[in-house]
Amino acid sequence: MRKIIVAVTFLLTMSFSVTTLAEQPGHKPVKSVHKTSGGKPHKKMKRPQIEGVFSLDMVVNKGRIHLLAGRQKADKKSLWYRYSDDGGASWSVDSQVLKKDSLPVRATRGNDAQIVAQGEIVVVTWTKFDPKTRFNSGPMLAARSVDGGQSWLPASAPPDWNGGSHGFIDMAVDDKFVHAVWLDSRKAEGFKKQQGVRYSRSSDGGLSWDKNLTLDGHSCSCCWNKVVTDGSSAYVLYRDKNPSDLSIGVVNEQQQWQYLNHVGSFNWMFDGCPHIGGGLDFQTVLGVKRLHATVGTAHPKHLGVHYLYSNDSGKSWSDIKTLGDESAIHSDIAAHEDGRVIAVWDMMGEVGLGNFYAESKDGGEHWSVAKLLSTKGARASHPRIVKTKNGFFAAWTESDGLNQRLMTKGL
Amino acid sequence: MGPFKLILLAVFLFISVVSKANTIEIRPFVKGSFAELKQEYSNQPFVLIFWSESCSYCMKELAMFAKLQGKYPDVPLVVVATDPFLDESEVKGMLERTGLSLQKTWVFAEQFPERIYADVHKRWRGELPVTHFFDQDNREVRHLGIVKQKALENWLAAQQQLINP
Repeated sequence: MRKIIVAVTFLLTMSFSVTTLAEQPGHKPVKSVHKTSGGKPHKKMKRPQIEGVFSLDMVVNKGRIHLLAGRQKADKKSLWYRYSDDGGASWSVDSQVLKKDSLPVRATRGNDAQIVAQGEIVVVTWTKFDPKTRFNSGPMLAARSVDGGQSWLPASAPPDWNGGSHGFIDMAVDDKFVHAVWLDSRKAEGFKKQQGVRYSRSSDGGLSWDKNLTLDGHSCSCCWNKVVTDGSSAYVLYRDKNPSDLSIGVVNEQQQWQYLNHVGSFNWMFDGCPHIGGGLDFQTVLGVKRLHATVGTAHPKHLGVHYLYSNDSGKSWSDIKTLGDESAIHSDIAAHEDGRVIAVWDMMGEVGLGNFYAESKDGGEHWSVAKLLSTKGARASHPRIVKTKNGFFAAWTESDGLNQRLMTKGL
Repeated sequence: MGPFKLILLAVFLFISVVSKANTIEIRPFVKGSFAELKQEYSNQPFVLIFWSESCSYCMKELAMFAKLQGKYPDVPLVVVATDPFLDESEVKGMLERTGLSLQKTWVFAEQFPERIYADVHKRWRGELPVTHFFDQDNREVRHLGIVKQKALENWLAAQQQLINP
């Protein structure tokens, strides 16, 4: 008996020694306690329960504004659709996508669930929330409506690769196709397995999708993409690597990709996650087509958001016009056929980020001073803007720390 | 000492050590914490590393620090998650993925992170990773993006040499 006791004691003591090693470098602590910065113990740090709008996207098709909002109540997330035929003055009744109070949505402002519409067909896509994966990011999911958003069915998503997550989705339509771009980490020919820009299009209103194209096999892993169409080709704005400037290229009707240029050649060499994208829109005034862009950069000498235009569909770009101050981050732009162009962006205000806008009445040659778009004193971010029949419509989110609200304004 | 008392003592020691070894302090990082940390570590070299659970470059950089941690134990690593109120499970996940060993760590405890960005550096808008190197004369060098391993090792070796010539 005594030998057994001694053996047990020895084993436990050895365990003691081995366990002590867990405090040494290379070993992992696994339980946490909480203290204030000064070292005084305090109650467990608790994440406030944020409710309200966590995701926002909108498009205009045939004069109708289509708006998709992700809403969170307690732990449940859902997607809601509405439309407006009068420039945002009045709205349809909200329609819950797939009629589900709890959808597995992995979205946040800057990586929002996306919407596109082609007449009565409405397609929405989002990244699935998957707690088993890194960053909780799963594959792309989609839903589709053929009755103007009254009813929804699950639909096939654009990616034909399901070996990992898909994110930073954007979509656009013309009369023939629905275009989709996103980031994923598949191995593409000539590249390592890493985050890159992928593309697919649908010629049946999002019912099925073509074989995917890799537009760039190495891109920023955390910046949103933008796709617009000129009626036949899809122009894609994305954040490149080496340098980490925004780049633009075009997928033509034969689905051939052509890289065009950097949009803002800052030569920003940055091995990291900027979390910044840009805005892009076409404008045709008196038969002259102009492509307008806003780009964000954290290059130390060019910090902020800048405006540029191109008269040759992205091959060359104007000098930059800086919008706002150095703290400007997230931006969008819309350009009307009447010559007006409005850029929106967020930057530091009194209580954190606030949203601002500036307007050009002459196709981007001259700009107004920056004006406050969001509510004075409110924390607002990630403004979006689209052109409507008679003007512009801006939407964004404002938060008081507990509730995040959808805000809109016609301009 | 009787046999049962001996067993009880060994079990007690085992449980208490396991408990201690599995503990990490998570401290809130708020506006003002940057100044507090500089005060707390004044006149000694330390590295302040900001990361996010959605930043793959941050994971690579933290893994690099993990490899060097044992070699330069006298240079404290202050590791701060910029995801507001990041769950403990995510912090533990980072530690497991990177192999980093920490007694304590910090997490942004402010719903609007830009307020902390501005407090740490007026030109910081959330780009990651960002690393601040402080030497024993409290001189600060800020590096945006992943740190080059050679440069990092040189800096750590120099600081270690100053501490233990």
